[in-house]
Amino acid sequence: MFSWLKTLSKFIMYQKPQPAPSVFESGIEDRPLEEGEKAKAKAKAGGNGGSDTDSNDSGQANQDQHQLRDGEQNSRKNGSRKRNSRRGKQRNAAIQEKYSDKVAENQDIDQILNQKVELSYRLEENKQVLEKLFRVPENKDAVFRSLSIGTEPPAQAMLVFIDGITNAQVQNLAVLQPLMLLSGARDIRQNRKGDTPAEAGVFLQGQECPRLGADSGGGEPVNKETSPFLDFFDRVKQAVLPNNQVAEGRTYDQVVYDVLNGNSALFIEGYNQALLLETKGWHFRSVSPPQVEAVIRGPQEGFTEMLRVNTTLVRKIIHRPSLVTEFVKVGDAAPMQCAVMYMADIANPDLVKEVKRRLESIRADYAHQAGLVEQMIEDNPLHMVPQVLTTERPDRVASNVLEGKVAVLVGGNPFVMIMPCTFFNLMQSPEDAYVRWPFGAFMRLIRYAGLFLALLLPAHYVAIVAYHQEFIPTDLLMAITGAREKVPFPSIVEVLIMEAAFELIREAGVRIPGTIGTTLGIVGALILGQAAVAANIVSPILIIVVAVTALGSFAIPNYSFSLSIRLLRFVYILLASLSGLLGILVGVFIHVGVMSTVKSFGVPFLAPAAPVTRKGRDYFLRGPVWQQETRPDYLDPLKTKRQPQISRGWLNGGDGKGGKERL
Amino acid sequence: MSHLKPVVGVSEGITLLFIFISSKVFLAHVTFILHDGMNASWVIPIINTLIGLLGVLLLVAVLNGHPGKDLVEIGEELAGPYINTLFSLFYLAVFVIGAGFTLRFISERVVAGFLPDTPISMVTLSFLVGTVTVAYLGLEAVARTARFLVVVLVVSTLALVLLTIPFWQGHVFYPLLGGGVWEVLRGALTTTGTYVQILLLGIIYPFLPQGKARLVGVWGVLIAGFFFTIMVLVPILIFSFPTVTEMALPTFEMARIINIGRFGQRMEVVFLPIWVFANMIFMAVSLYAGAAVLARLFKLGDYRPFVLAVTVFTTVTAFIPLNSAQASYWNHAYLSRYSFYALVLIMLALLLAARLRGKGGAKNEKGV
Repeated sequence: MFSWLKTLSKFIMYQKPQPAPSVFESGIEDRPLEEGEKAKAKAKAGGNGGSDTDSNDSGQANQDQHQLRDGEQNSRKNGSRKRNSRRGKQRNAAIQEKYSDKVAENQDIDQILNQKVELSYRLEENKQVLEKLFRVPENKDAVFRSLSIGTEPPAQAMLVFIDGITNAQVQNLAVLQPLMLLSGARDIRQNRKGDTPAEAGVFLQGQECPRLGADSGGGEPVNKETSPFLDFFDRVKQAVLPNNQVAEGRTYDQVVYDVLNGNSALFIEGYNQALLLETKGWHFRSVSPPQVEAVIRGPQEGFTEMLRVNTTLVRKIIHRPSLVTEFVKVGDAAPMQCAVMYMADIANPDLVKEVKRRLESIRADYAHQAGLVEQMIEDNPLHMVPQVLTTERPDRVASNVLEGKVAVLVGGNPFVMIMPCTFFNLMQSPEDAYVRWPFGAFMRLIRYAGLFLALLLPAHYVAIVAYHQEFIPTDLLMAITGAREKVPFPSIVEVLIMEAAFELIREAGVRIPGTIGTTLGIVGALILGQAAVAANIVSPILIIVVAVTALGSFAIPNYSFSLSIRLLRFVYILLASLSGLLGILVGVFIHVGVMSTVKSFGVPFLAPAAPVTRKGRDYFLRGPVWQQETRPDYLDPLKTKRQPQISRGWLNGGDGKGGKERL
Repeated sequence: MSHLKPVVGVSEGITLLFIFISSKVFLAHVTFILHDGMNASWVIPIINTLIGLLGVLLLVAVLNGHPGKDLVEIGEELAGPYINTLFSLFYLAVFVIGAGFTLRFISERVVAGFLPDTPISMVTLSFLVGTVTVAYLGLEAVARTARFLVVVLVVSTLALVLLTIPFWQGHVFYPLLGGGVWEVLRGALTTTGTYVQILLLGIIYPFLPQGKARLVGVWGVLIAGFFFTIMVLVPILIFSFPTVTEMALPTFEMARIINIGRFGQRMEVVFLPIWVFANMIFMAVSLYAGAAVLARLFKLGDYRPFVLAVTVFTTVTAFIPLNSAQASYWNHAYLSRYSFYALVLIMLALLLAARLRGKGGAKNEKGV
């Protein structure tokens, strides 16, 4: 009788149980995978089966990393498709029509570069193409120096370089002089008379050696073991040019990018290759003390704008063959050289791969500064907190790289990015490690207090003055009330005026020319200190609050993090004006909740506190250096042990007993 | 299968469970226990903890037979969709009623104690905005927020207890068993609902590391029991019986009497984070778990559309009682008394069904 009801209720309430694709987890990484990606993920999971089943707290951060990667690959693929389709629509038809010849020329040039067109055997043809590529004669930077190599008969050659970014002395002494003056003296018995070097091959020790790739005539292959040189070109490279770095270029794009990086390209008539000679020589700032990360104890050198100098500064500290420096070109229109540094025997290969993948995937016109690259590679660009640690100290980079992190150095920028980065990293300073541990721990405590004050002190002032007057002792209450008696504004307006004035002074202080910087100090002090109080715009207590808040924000060691705190302070002030302390606490709750979803290269931002992973003695406070035995667990490094349990070997005393027991 | 991997570690799981169970010690729950057990009320949480432990072991026995599934899915498999709907409605009621009455009570107390000129709707809205946001962000966010803030909660609670030591009176212990053994036992058996929140373990089970559910459950209940016992015992030591039974919020009164010299008076504001954070975590968990139950019940993969729905249920529930006293009384009457037995009956029914169907009963925690 009620079968229809049963059928209906079954239809509404019951479906065959299926494994639900869980979105109970949060964040972009938890979107269901596409079929193709699923298969890949499964294959991956199969490969890492052992670690998947061995689930524990510490593995969680690493799993987040994997998960993130899968999800991001999806979104990135979709994103890139959309981007490509959009790119086509963004052409400006009118202007293209007007300058159609220019457009056609540019397209030709792009084609030469993109299709990796090989160099010609003919010197003149190479010259014409390169002039086209470098927009000569309009472009006066590109120099085409013709020369004759001093052999018998002389070989025609051409040196191409960009004026101003090459070292003229190196070019003269290590390139031009050997080629033009000394090459004959080195007994290059090369060509048969009448043959070009390319056609002829080279006579060496009575044997005829065909040039590389050419038919030897007699059908005999070149015996590389007995012939030190393959041909004339090889001999020039091996025996004539005393440059410390010489490479061969076979395509125009190789030559162009090398020349643009300060090298010189040597073309020789008859060869479809160019010698790319190390002649970089632009001016750069020398190594000097760090500008924003000064320490009292510790090295007083900071990074410069020279990429190679920066990598050297790191390598100078880490004398290990496993320190790897890889170069990645970042950006589309004007690719920028980035160096990725990591310890091959410590860093998690997945992390390294992910960093390189993100860098290589950047498509941007101008990504030449660390700050720009940072924004392109961070996990959650909409969040307020920085997800990459930036530093200008080589010692800090070295210590982080030795922990298993990856450093990215951007050419032309003295700030190096270290990833992944957690909340606790942002509150650390190199100074903590260079003083004895109780003082290091104390300084960190002071810094956390500074963070609290910078973020919440003005908000607390508003909350107490507006809502919770009864919570402060009577004497203090009287003092505050008396001071505020003549102030016509409500506390929120008063605080906003002062905070805005302070932010204005701070911003102006950064932009102001140095010569009139002192004027700003005087103006600021007058406005903030005396005039505002005298005019009864703000109360003297508020001046103290703003000053302490400023001190607190200056105590935050990371500039990007300090910026986010500066901004969030206003949010908390507004919350306090709405609901007093309750508003602040609700704000903190949401703030922590949101921060707990942030990840830096797959590592949760609040690790190792939430999620809990194995903690070392250096995350909240600074522990004794001899007790820091393991690397951060959330990085999942190849080697977890940083030092033996008894790192102070002298305590052993040769009796085999543990140092700790003897302490 | 990366999307079925554990996202809640052991530590976060324990934290989540113990805060979810024990956050009510900062509300009026303690007062009802004090009525039942008189000056021996501190024994009641101990007995309740033991009962809670048995409940957890029973729950884990049900869950371990079905690795990767939560209680709603297990119920569907074992009891069928119709009966499981009833079970799920019970779970939902536990979360919604708990969150609703808590929301009402804490909002009223905040208005009375800290924001006398603010309308209750504003205070309720503040709580809801915070908890809905975090619940919407997911279980990971809720668990990690709880884990991050637990330090504040534990340190503040211990400070609250330690700072009242000068006011403790030893003689209030006697007579040692208050109204007698049977009175205490009766009090314990009629307040077992204190531990009905172990139900959360059944909802988050698929996201815990394999084989760790028992560990999470046992430690969650033990730590909650510790705080229950402390927060029942200390008010008795300070205010003595029967004065202590007249307090709506014993922890607030404890904070009020703390006096550190002339300058350190009115310290209750320092302890405001305890009430706010503990109850916000409780509500965020409830909203998430309620939404998760609904999502499973309606066979949907995403819990998020249900967060707002559960929020509406919760808010409506919060404003059914006339005042905070009625809210706390109803909370005690409907949740803290006998609901635990209902949960145990469901667990036994599921275990019986599993045995009859030959499913899952023989598997261990790793599903082998």
